[in-house]
Amino acid sequence: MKYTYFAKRNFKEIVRDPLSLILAVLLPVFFILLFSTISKNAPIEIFKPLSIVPGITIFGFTFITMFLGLLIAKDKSTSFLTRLFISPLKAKDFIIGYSIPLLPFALIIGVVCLIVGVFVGLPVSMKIVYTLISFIPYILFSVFVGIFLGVVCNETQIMAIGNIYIIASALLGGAWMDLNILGNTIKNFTEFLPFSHAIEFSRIILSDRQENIWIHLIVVSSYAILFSFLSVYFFTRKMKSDNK
Amino acid sequence: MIMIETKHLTKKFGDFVAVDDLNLSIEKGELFSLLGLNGAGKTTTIKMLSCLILPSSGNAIILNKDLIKDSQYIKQRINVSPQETAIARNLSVQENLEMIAGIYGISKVISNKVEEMITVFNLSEVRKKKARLLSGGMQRRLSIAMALITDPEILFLDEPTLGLDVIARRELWSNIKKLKEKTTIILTTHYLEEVEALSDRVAILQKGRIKAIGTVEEILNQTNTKKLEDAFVLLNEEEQTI
Repeated sequence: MKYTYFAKRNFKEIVRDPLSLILAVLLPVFFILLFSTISKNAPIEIFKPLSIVPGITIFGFTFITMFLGLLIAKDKSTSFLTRLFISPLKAKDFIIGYSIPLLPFALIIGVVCLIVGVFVGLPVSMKIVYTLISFIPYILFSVFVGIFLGVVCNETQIMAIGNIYIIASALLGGAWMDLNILGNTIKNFTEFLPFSHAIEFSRIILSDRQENIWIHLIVVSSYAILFSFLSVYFFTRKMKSDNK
Repeated sequence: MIMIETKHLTKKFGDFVAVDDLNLSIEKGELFSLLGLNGAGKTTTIKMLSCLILPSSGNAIILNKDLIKDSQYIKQRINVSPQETAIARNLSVQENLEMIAGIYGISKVISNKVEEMITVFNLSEVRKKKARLLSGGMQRRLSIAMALITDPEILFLDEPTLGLDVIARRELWSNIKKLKEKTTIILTTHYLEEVEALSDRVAILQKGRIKAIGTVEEILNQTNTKKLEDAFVLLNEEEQTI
């Protein structure tokens, strides 16, 4: 279990950066409170707690991708990762060591957002627990995209790509707007991305809507699996690239 | 006992030959220095011997094991202090040491080893301090302590005193001298006085090849000079003239 020591280090690195906590926890909380307040004054369906809470929570998980990507890119740019490549850690230890610390962190984001959701009007029921579970495929997707970006890009590239990714996930996921207003072309395009499916999956679980959840689950899970393979492949290649 | 034996060890990056047909052997307990100008192949040699990069051709026997086939065995028993300070910046001194000890699987005696390193490297006053807040000299000491906490049979020190002031450098020399008794050390450096102060034997590398090898005295005799600096300059001038 050598990776546990590496995982502990990664958890501390992220938690000790206060910006992580502010962005990943407080920003979604702020948005939930903001949109819920607006919904009290304007009858906009998507701003109501049943829609906005899952949407904003999914949006909050995108910051995990950013933090993880930056952490790996920073480790790459210093000799720290070189030291660890010389250690007995194997590629799978690195992947697990980078992934595991983000899971409780993601859980905290999910729990905090849902608790705030209850305060702004979500009915208390077992559906809240099911919704929390429904976040798991997207959390895994976010973690693997983070590893992938961290391995492939440098810090500057991640700052740029990460910002585009966060904005794209918010706009193309429909976290706080109806995707129909984007027009058919863009709306159809969003169907091929995981963001709107992740949000719709959690919204259906949380609400009483009798709709098919499987297509959403399959799309998000497929993306999670795809990026798990990509992150493992590129990380292993990174370890071996120094071996050429 | 021979700890490292290289056999025609060569590393090419495209057309560029970084290390060219390197043949040397290093005995147990030796402090062996690799000396050379920038691009002479010192760091590439260390990267190959520490299993970070594979040779293009040739091989090495380390701890009686094949460098290429038995890298996992070798990795468990060696350690490296890289050229740049390689520390987890947001972890404290103690946490950095605990992490490396854990990764190398010495968790049963982890607290004893951490205490030992903190004492040996005079880090007790800063043990709770985050690594990024340490001075350059302290960070370098921590980086070496992280390499030593695993009790490596072979320790690679890649320019350990680079960027340190005179006092910090002398303190680090004193630490390295203490290590010589129980660890085989391979040191790369630009500083000739460091080589004279610490080394049992020296190899002067030039364009990836060994230009001279032996004790400092032997190299002075080979080049008919009185100072290592003169020998080093002479050997490099010869090449440039050619």
